[in-house]
Amino acid sequence: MSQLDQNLHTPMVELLLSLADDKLFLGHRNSDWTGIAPILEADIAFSSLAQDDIAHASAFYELIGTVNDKNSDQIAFGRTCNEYRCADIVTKSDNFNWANAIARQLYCNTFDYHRLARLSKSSWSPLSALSKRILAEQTIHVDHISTWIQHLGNGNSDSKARLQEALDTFAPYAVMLFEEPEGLQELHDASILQNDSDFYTDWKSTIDVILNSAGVTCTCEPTNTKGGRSGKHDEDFVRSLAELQEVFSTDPLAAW
Amino acid sequence: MLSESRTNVPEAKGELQTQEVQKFPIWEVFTKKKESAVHLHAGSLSAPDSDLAQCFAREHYGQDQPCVNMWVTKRDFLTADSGENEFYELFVQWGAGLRYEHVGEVEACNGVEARDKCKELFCADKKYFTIWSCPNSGITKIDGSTDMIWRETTDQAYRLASGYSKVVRKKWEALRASKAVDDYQSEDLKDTY
Repeated sequence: MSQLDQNLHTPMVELLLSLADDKLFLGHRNSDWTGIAPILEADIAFSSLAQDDIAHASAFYELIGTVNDKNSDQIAFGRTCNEYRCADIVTKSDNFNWANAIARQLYCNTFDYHRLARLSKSSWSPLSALSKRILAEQTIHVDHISTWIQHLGNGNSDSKARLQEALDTFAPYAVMLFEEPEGLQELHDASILQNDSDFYTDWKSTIDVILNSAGVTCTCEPTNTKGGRSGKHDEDFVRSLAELQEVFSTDPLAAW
Repeated sequence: MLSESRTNVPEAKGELQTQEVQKFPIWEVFTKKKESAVHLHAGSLSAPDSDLAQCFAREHYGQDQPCVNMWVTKRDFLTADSGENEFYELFVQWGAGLRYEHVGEVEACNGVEARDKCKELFCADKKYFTIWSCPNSGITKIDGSTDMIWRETTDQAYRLASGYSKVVRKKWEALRASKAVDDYQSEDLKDTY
C-alpha cells in the first residue's frame, strides 16, 4: 500500500517526527565530539556515525514532507520547542565524559534498531522501504557501540566503574524513548503497524546481552511519564535547539 | 562558532593511562572499490585490537568512496620475515609514493619466501619499489555484500573525497564568477584592466 489514508496523516507525522528528531539531535549532540574525542580514531569514527544519524534524519524528514507537504529543512529547523518530538536522552549533556557518550549511544542505537525493525514491517510501503534500508546501516551502529561497551567494561576497574556509572545516569532517560507518539494506536488499529511483540522487552533483552558480555548492567523500569514525545522538553533540549536553529533562523527562507 | 557546550569542556579527571594509547599497534587497511577492481592500500590507523581496528577502518576508509570489500591487518605482518607455511596475500608498490596494489597470493613457508615468490611470479620483467606479504590468517576480510561497509542507503555525496555533488559545485562556480565581476568593479582593479 503506497497511499496513506487522510485521517492517518497526523499520527504518521507524529511517529516519523519522533524518529527523525531523535536522529537529528543525537547526530548534532555527538558531533560535539569532533576534534576532542579521547583518541583520534574514535574521533573520526564517532563523527562519521553522527553524520549517518543526521543523514537518516534527513531521509525521514523528506518522507514526512510527502505526507504533510512541507519542505524538509523547514520541518527540521523551523519548529518551536514544543513541536519537537525527540526523547530528551538525545540532547542531555554528556559533560564530555566518554563513558556517558557511549552509554547514551548504546541505549539510542539499540532502540533505533528495534524501532526500524518494527517500521520495516509496516504495510505503508514508503515507510517499510525506507526503514529496511536504514536498518542495514543501523546494524553497523549497534556493532560499533557493542565493541566499545565490551572494551570499556572489560578494560580495567576504572573504565568499568565509569561505564557502569554512565549506564545508571542515562537509564532513566533511556526509558523515556518508549513514550508512545500520539495516535500510535490509530496506526495499529488501521494495521499500518503490527504490534506482534513487546518493544521494551525486545530492546531490554538486546542491551542485556551486550552488557552481560561486558560485565555491566542496566537497571531500569518502563514508565508512563509524558516527556519529549508530547513536546515537553528539558533545559538541555532548549539549549540544543537554540544552537541548531542559530543559522537557520537568521534567514528561514534562504535557499541552501 | 563553537557550541555553548564546547566552550565549557570540563578537564578530564582520574587515572587516564594515555601512554597506553601511544602503544596501540598500527593496522593497515586495503579497500576494493568495485568487484572488478583489486584491493588497494587505503591507509593505516591505530587501535588496541582487531575488533576496534575493524570498527575504525569501516568509518575511516569505507566511507570516503564506495567500498565492496575491505581487508584489515596488523602492519607488523606485512614486513615480517618469519611465519608459518600457509597462503600469503601479496601487495606491490610499483613506484615510490604509489599505493600498494594486491597482485595475488602464493603458498609459502614464511614472509621472505612469499616475497621472493612474488618477485618471480608478479614482478619478473617490471620495475617495482617495495613488496608487502601478509599471511592469510592475519587478515580480517570484510565482504561488503554480506556485511555492509559503504552506506548507500541514504545520499552519501557529501562524504565523497572527490568533492561535493554537481549542485554544490555549480553554486561554487557561480560564486567564483560573481567574485571575478566584483573584483573587476572594485576601484583597485579598474586601473589594471
